[in-house]
Amino acid sequence: MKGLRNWPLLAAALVASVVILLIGSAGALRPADNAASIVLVPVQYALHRAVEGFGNLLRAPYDLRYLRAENQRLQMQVDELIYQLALRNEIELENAALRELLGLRERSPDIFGPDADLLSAEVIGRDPSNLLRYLTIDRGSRDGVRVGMPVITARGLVGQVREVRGNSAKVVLLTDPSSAINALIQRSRATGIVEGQTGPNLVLRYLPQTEGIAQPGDLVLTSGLGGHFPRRLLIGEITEVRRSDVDMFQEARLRPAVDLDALEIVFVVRHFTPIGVDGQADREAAPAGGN
Amino acid sequence: MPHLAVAEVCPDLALVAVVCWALHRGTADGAVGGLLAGLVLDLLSGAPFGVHTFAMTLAGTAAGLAVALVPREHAMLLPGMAVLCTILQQAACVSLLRAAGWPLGWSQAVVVIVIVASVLNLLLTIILYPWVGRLGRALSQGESGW
Repeated sequence: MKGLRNWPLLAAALVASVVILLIGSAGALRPADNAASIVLVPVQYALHRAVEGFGNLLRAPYDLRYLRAENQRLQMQVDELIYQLALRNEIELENAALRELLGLRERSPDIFGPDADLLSAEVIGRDPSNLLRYLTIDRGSRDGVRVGMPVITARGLVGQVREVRGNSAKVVLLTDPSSAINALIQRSRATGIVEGQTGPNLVLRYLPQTEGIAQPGDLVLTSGLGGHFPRRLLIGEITEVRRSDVDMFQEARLRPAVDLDALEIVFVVRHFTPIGVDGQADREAAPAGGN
Repeated sequence: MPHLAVAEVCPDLALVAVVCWALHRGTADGAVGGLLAGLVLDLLSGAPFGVHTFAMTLAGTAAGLAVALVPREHAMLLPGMAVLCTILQQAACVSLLRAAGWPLGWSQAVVVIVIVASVLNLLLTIILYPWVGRLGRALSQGESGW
């Protein structure tokens, strides 16, 4: 009974525990408990982290195989999600383009006529030559695309179908040297012909010499004359006017309304109502060759 | 190669590949390389079919002939042929397109295109030449192995 030599201490401890129990159950120790916790909680947290870290370290070899498999599974999941996200973004962009075009049709029903037929197409290639400006689209004769049909975006005119295959078509851009379109200046109503050049800009030729009919900043639209293009489609904005007293006509340089280098989705106008023809006379777009 | 475009002008990878191939392999292989590359370009282009085939075959042949006339080690052979073949190919394209009714001439814009394309093709040729040489050697070893 050596342990009982210190019985006073033992008894004091037991008594103290009982007293604390009694006082504590009465709620009298709560302020002291709260005060102590301010100091103890961070210490407890630090200790817990340390112990947990040590435990993790010990468990690591056992977890490695599981983690590898889990990592591989998650990586595949991430890849799948990235793909789906990219797909969703593409669909959103396509939807935005279609909504923009729908807005254009609703705002300006007279551009295409009542029974206009527009077909969306994706740009799948560009002309490899620096001299020519062509696009290849993923729609062809199987989709009802024919030579001469206008190609547009919601921003304005892009060009005209020049060559059709079964499932693709080549579109000559406004900026190609062989492109020529009847046009009018919105402000002055002066008409001329917009021609492509070797380069990113267009030139509006055969404008009368009248002063002030063409000014930088004026918008140029399709006139619809000849019936090859719907009228009032935006072609571009005048950036520079060249006028000389010795020339019969004046010329203006244009910046195309559409960024032709960044095209992804375009619309082929399969049917529209040409100028001066009533709704009953809807017809297929005119054959190739500008107007 | 629209991402490498300078002033709206892109380097012509097909032409550069044909020139490098011809400089390594000689006239006949150069011409055949030009023919095949031109056929592919004609399939992709809006130009009348055959324009690129003819222009590229011409460029391949010219580069191959240059190797026959000038020692391969000559410092000016590679840059000279890159520039000359670009001019030759572009001139052939412009001439054939004009003959087909395209309103193209040797305007300032076309001249600028040719100058910029020559510089870009020259740079690309310097990069591509050793790689095409390796490809040629690998193919030769394969042929001798058969």
